[in-house]
Amino acid sequence: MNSGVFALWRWEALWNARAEFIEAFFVTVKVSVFALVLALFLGVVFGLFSSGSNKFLKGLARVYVEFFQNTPLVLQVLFMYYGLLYAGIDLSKEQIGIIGLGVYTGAYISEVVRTGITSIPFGQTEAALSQGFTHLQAMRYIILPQSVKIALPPLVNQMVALIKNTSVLAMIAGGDLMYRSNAWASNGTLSYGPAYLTCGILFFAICFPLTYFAKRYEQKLKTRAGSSGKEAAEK
Amino acid sequence: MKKFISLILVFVMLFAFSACGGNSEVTVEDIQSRGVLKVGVKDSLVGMGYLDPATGEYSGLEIDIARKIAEEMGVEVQFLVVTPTTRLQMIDSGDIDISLSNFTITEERKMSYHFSAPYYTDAVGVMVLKDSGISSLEDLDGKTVGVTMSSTSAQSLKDYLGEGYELSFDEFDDHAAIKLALSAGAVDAHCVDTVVLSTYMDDTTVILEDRFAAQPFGVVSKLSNTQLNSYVDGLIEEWLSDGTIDALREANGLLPSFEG
Repeated sequence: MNSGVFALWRWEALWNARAEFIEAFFVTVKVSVFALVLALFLGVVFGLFSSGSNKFLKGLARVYVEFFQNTPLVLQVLFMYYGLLYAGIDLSKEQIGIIGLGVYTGAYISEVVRTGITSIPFGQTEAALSQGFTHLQAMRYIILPQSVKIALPPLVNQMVALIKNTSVLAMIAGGDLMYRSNAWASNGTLSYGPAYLTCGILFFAICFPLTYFAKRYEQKLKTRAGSSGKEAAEK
Repeated sequence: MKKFISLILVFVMLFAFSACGGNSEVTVEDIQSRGVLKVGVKDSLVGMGYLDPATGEYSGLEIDIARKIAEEMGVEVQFLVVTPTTRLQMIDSGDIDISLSNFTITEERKMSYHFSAPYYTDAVGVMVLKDSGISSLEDLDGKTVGVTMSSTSAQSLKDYLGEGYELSFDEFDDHAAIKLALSAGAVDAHCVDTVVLSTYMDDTTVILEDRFAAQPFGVVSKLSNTQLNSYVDGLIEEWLSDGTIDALREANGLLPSFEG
């Protein structure tokens, strides 16, 4: 029999095991979605903290960002898995995935939000304030609409990175797509070729639409901003 | 749409490319003219395949057999450390010629790789924490058992216990990770070949008495290297019958092969 890495009978074996892969696919999707919500929440909150004027909140945001950006995600997840057990805290693997990835990506997103806000020249805020806008109004009508366009591409990068990073769960037997692919590839007939290729395709199937629609949305924002800018000029 | 089609094409090309890569046969003569036999081994199993971090010296039954094979061929031996997952790709890509790495022979695996006659037969055992209250395999009902990726231990344990037992399995990259998980309480038991368990034994753990499922270890190589395979098979058969391998086993402090 053909023993090639991608031999047809290996694909048949994979097809017969599709239920396992579908289940793992949904574990990855679930962890990604919840982690994303957490990351966006933390990112926006700490991003506003670090671009605001309160020294204490600014410091807090710095500590959060620097700590999670400068230690490996793998180590953070391993710590949550092994370390917290010793402390008597027993989290499920999906919870570890959601919290671990959410908090880690939140640190990056908070930087995206901060740079998005601070990239708008401060003169604009001053101008708005001098025209009688409150600080909140200046943010809402002047600064944030511009920041969103700047922040969107790196934000999507972070979201995609988060989805791909769910593969760290494989290290703690997390039941995610990467884990299942590893496990299946290294059992039975050892048909790792189709398993890893399928794993890659499935990740692509989640991440590609996200980047695609984000790009379209970004274009839409730009054209809308362009036309409204023109209207304002005409008036 | 055009973009989509080109994407599909990229995948097809990738597929075709990897399917035909590295299919040329490696023969004993190739290895002799190269002067080096590349062998995939383990570095963490005392008595089987062990790399002493202090001296940088390899030792163990698998190391000794590999050295003897190289000696027969009249070439140097080069050891490359493999894991259960890397050894597959390394054999397929030709990075290693043969692997002696605690690789259990099964019928399913024979569809993908060539196996020599078993040079050693181990049995699966289960290690638990002394204070876990688990004293027999029956106590494992409802517990989580740590096994490695690419191990047959999980299936063997299920088969041995039979119907009526609820077991869940967590698969890890290596045994050090399982040991860590066992100590932390993330898994209740560590299940693998006894040779491996004895490497990870300490005063907090105990190996349950029941052992089961013979694990015959064979020299693994690429199916398409037929000439090399029959050469290695011949050597192993010869050393099994003339007692060479048994003497090496004893010299490395291993229990006799499991029977039963």
